[in-house]
Amino acid sequence: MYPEPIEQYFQPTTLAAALQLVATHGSAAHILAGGQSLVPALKARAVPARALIDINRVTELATLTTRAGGLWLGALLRLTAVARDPLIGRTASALADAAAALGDRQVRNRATLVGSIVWAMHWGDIAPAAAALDARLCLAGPAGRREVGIESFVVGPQLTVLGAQEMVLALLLPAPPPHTGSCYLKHGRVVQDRATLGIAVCLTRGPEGRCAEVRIALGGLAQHPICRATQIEERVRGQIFNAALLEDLKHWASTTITTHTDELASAAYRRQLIGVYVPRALELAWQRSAESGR
Amino acid sequence: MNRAITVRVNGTLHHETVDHRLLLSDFLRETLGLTGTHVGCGYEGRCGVCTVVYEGVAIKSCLMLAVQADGAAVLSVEGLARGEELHPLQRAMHDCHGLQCGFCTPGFLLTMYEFLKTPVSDPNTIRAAMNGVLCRCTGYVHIVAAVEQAARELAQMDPDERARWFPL
Ligand SMILES: Cc1cc2nc3c(=O)[nH]c(=O)nc-3n(C[C@H](O)[C@H](O)[C@H](O)COP(=O)(O)OP(=O)(O)OC[C@H]3O[C@@H](n4cnc5c(N)ncnc54)[C@H](O)[C@@H]3O)c2cc1C
Ligand code: FES
Ligand code: FES
Repeated sequence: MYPEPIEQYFQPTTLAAALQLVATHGSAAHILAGGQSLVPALKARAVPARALIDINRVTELATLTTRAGGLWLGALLRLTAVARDPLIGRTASALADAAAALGDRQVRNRATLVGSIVWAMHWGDIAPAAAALDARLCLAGPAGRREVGIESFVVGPQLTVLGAQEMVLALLLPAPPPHTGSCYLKHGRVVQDRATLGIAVCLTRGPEGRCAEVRIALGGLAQHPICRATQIEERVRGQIFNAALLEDLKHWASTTITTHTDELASAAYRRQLIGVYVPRALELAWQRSAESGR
Repeated sequence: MNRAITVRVNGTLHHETVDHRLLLSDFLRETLGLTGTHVGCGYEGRCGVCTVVYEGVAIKSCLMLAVQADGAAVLSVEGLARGEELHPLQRAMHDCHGLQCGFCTPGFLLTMYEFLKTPVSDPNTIRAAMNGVLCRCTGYVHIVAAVEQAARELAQMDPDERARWFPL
């Protein structure tokens, strides 16, 4: 299928030029990053195609740097690079896991972290992982720059607080405390499918084998692209991390989280998945926390 | 709504004026007449048979606009052989019966071309690398076998000879 006629196509090569274009044409134009969500939508004529601002040549956005011990992940970092990067693998494993679990090789060669978060499908893989890691987004617009936590940025399915004249410059991750581990696990009907359930966990070990801090975010549940499992977090925080705790969670988690039936799975099946994946993800994050980093 | 672009395809520079909305897959097929790049989806970008190598990496050409490729280098299935000599991966697909109708074959060749730049013959790694291309005929087993064979052959070549099979 063909997109509708695209009246204007811009290909800025500097960040300043890109921001200028977004400020001028923002409300009528789409920012085009990897195109792995936007181009299918244009072809399906699900979104209007008047103008495109292609940011693929803005090399300033393709950078990965450390900032105050945390990470600055530029908006043009491709998932292939994210999945392979040793620093991300060591300090933000959940994000590396999610990048590797999204789509297929060719999609990951183009798709960006930020494009996935902005598209904000309820089955997206990146947003839950970024939420477990307490990520923020750096936005820029005519009024300057601002930082927004990811849970405030993603308001609902396909809904964010991004202004029409703004663009996202980067995803920011805080420096992990010592003895922190994280992971993202995905369950789909087949590989490269949408997540029937996605779960991200980030936890920090405390003294005496206790879990000092934990953040759990689920994806694939219809309500929101990011479902924080705060009740489960409360049940785990401060507890001694052992088999008994995980066994208790198996039954408890599946009855605590609200889920739904859709074309991928029934609510009963999802509840069963939750009972399996909550302990499994916690255990993996716990193992990784032994290697310090995150 | 037109733009003049220059794209290097299989080593040859092409100067064309294209509609903004022209997909790279249609640019290759319709504008340049290189119909080896196939198209199997409506809009979803799932089947992978349109895969080409763009600036060194495998991408789905139905999910990129031709105007985006201005100044870039693209390799399509027509550029794999050296004259009459098949690429080691093409020969392996032939030897191992890696195709039946052949509709998906260009997609597998170009996806696994990128994979084979660092040849790995482990079947599970191969399977994971090729899940972005769908085949309705073979059941994949013979395609995996072909990639294994090509990986072994390429790994045994001296690096200069191997590099000649990977111009992009
Ligand atoms: C075959 C296939 C399989 C897929 N499988 C999965 C999967 O398993 N899991 C999953 O989560 N997703 C999947 N996707 C969806 C897609 O890959 C992701 O949504 C993708 O990461 C989007 O990123 P992109 O860079 O391609 O964004 P684009 O498509 O370029 O853009 C997406 C949206 O983000 C906006 N945007 C992009 N960058 C910026 C920026 N810097 N500032 C402001 N706005 C911006 C765009 O305007 C657009 O609205 C799949 C897609 C395909 C084609
Ligand atoms: S035509 Fe199916 S993925 Fe491109
Ligand atoms: S050989 Fe027919 S689709 Fe793969």
